[in-house]
Amino acid sequence: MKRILENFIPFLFVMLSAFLIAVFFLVLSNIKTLDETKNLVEETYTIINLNEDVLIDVISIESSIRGFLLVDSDSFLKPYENSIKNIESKLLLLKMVTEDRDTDGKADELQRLIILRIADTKNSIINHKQNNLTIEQKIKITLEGKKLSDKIKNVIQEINSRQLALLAQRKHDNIDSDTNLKLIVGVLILVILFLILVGFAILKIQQQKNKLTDELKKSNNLFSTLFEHNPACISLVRISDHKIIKVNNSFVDLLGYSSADEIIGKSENDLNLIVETSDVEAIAKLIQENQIVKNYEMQVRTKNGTLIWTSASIIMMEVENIPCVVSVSMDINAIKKSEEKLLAVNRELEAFSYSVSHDLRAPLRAIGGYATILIEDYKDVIDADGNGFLKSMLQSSKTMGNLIDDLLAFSRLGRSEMVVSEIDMNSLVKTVVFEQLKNDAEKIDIQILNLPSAIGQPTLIKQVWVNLISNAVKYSQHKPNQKIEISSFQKNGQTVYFIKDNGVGFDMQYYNKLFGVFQRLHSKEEFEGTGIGLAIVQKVISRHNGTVWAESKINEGSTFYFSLPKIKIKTK
Amino acid sequence: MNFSDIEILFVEDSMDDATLTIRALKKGGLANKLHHVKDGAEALDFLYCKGVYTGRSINDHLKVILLDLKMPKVSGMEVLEKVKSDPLFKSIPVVILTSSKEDPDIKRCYELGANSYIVKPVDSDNFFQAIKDLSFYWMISNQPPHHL
Repeated sequence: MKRILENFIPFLFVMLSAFLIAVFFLVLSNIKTLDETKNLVEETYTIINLNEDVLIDVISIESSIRGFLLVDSDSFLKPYENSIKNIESKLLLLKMVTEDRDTDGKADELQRLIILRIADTKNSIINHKQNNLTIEQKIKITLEGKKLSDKIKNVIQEINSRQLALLAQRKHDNIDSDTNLKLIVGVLILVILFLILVGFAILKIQQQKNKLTDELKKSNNLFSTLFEHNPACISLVRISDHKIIKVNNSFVDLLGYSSADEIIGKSENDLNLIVETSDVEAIAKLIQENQIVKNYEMQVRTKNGTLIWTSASIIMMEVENIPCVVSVSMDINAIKKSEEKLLAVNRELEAFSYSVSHDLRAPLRAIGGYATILIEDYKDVIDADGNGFLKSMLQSSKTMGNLIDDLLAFSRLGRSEMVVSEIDMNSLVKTVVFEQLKNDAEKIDIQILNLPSAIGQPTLIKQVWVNLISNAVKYSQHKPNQKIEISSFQKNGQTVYFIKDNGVGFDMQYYNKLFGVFQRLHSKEEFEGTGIGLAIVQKVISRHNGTVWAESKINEGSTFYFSLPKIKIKTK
Repeated sequence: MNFSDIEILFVEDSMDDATLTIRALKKGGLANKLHHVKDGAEALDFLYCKGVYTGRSINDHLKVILLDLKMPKVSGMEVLEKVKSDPLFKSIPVVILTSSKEDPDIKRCYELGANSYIVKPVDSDNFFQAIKDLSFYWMISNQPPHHL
C-alpha cells in the first residue's frame, strides 16, 4: 500500500501542476471577461446618455423652428443654434463610441436622419425669411419636420433597446462565468486540502520509513554482534562455486587464521580443511534426505595442520538470494578427548572384567574340582567331619562362581548398547511366570491383570521380571497360601507396573540398602541369593528413564513398582 | 612315543584344568586316545609334526581338538585360525574351552570356524556332564574325509 502511494506521488504532482495551470488560465480569462463587461456597461450607458442628449437637441430644434414659423421672431432661433452646435459634437462622440459596436446600422441611420433634419430646418428658415411662407406652407413644413423627428426618436429608441438587450445578454453570460469561477475556487480549495492530506501522509510514511530503517539498523547490529561474537563457528559457502563468502571470528580463531580475509573467497579444498572426504559425502547425503544435518561430528584441519574435532549442524538456505550452505560448528575437541579417554578406561574395565572372569574362575574350578575328587574318590579315608568340610568348600566355590557371574552381568548392564522395541508385557510376564514357577505353579495363587505394552530392550526388561517374580516366589515360599499379583496403573504419563506378594516382607528402615549391589536384607540360610537381583532391576529401569520403588511390611508381604515411559503410538 | 592312536588333541595351559578334564575323560574311557599340550605353540608343533613331534605322521588324523583360549605364546584363537585356514586340518572339529559363556571371544571363534564351545564350570558335576556330552558329540560327529 505504502509503495503504491509512493509511486503515485510524482504522478500526483504532474496532475496537480496541470490542474493549477488550467485554473490560472481560467481565472485569467474570467477576469478579462469581467473587465470587458464592465467596459460594455459603461459604453452602453454613454450611448444611451448621448442618445438622450441628441434627442433633447432634436426636440429643441423642432420646437425652435415651430416657434420661429409661428411667431416670425428670430429670438426663437437661439435654442436651435445652440442645439446645432451641441448636436455636432455629440454626434461625433456617438460615432466614436458606436464605431466598434453592433448597432445594426442604426447609428449611421441616426447620423443621416439628424443631418437631414438640420439641413431641412436650415432650408425652411432661409425659405421663410426670403419668401414669407403661407400658413399652409408653414403647416406642411412643420408636419414634415415632425415626421423626421419621430423617425429620429424611433431610431434612438431602437439603438437604446438593442444596446440594453446586448448588455442584458452579457450580464447573463457573466453570471455563468461567475458560477464557473466559484466552482473552480471550490475545487481549488478541495485540491489544496487533498494536497495537505497527501503531504501529511507522505510525512507519516517517511517517519515510519525512518523508524523501520532505525529498527533494521538495530537488528543488523544485533545480528552482526551475535554472528561475530558467537562461540559457535559459523561459515557460509556459496553453492555455485563452493567459495566461502562469510565466516565469524570463532571460525577464524578455531582454524588458526589471523583474519577472515585469509578465508573468504576460498573453498574448503583451497584451505585443505576437510580431513575425511567421506564426511563431505555423508553430509551431502544427509542434506539430500533431511534438508538439515544436526551435530555431525567430524575432524577439520587448521591452518598449521592440526586436526580438531567439531560438531557441525549444516543447512542449505538462501542468503541475500544466493544459495548457500550454512554451517554452525562447535569445537568438541576437549569432549572428544575425554570421550576417547573414557572409551579407553571402559576398554580397560572390560578387559579387567574378563580377566576377573577368567583368572578368578581358574582357581575356583580347581578348588571345586579337587573337592569333588576328594568327596568322590577319598570319602572312605576322610572322616565325617572332613567330608562335611569338603562339601562346604564345594558349596563356597559355587557361591563365589555365582557372585562373579552376577558382578559381570551387572557391570555389563551399564555398558551394553540398548536396542529398544515394543514389548508385549502380557505375554512377556506370562512367559517368565511359566519359566520361573515350573513345578510350583499349582501351589501359588498368581494373578496377572492387564499390562500395557512398553518400549524397552526386551532382554533387559525380561531380566527385571525374572528377578522380581523369582524374588516374590522366593520370599513367599514359606507361606501356606502363596499369593502373587501382577498389575499396572497410569501415573504422570507413565505406566507403573507392580508385583505384590504375601511373603515375609522387609523392614522399611533398611529400604536404602534394598537396591544396593550385594546388599541383602535376609540371611543366606533363610533365603539364598547373592544380593544382585534388585540392583540389576534398578539399573535396567533407570537406563529406560523409569524409576523403581517398593513398599513392605514385615510378614505381610512386599510390593515392587517400576515405571516406564508410556508407549508412543505411531500413526502411519 | 606313538602318536598314531591319538584322536583327541587337548590344548590347555592350566595344570589344574588339565588334571580335572583328563580325569573326566578317563571316567568316560577316552583318556588313552588323548594327548595334552600346554600351549598353542606346542599344539601347532603337534599338528605340523615339528619339534618334539617330528616323528609324528601328519596323516595321523585327529578326531577332535579341545582348545583353551587363554594361553601363553600362541593363543587358542591363533591356533583356531591356523587350523581352520589350512585345508589339511579344517575338517577337524574344534571345541573351545572357555571360562564364561559371556566371553566375547566365543563369537569371534564361531566366525573363525569353531564347531562348539564348552564353559569350564567350577561346578564339577556340570563339568563332567559337559565332557560326557562332548564325547557323545565326538562319537556322532562326521568322520574326517580320508577315513571315508
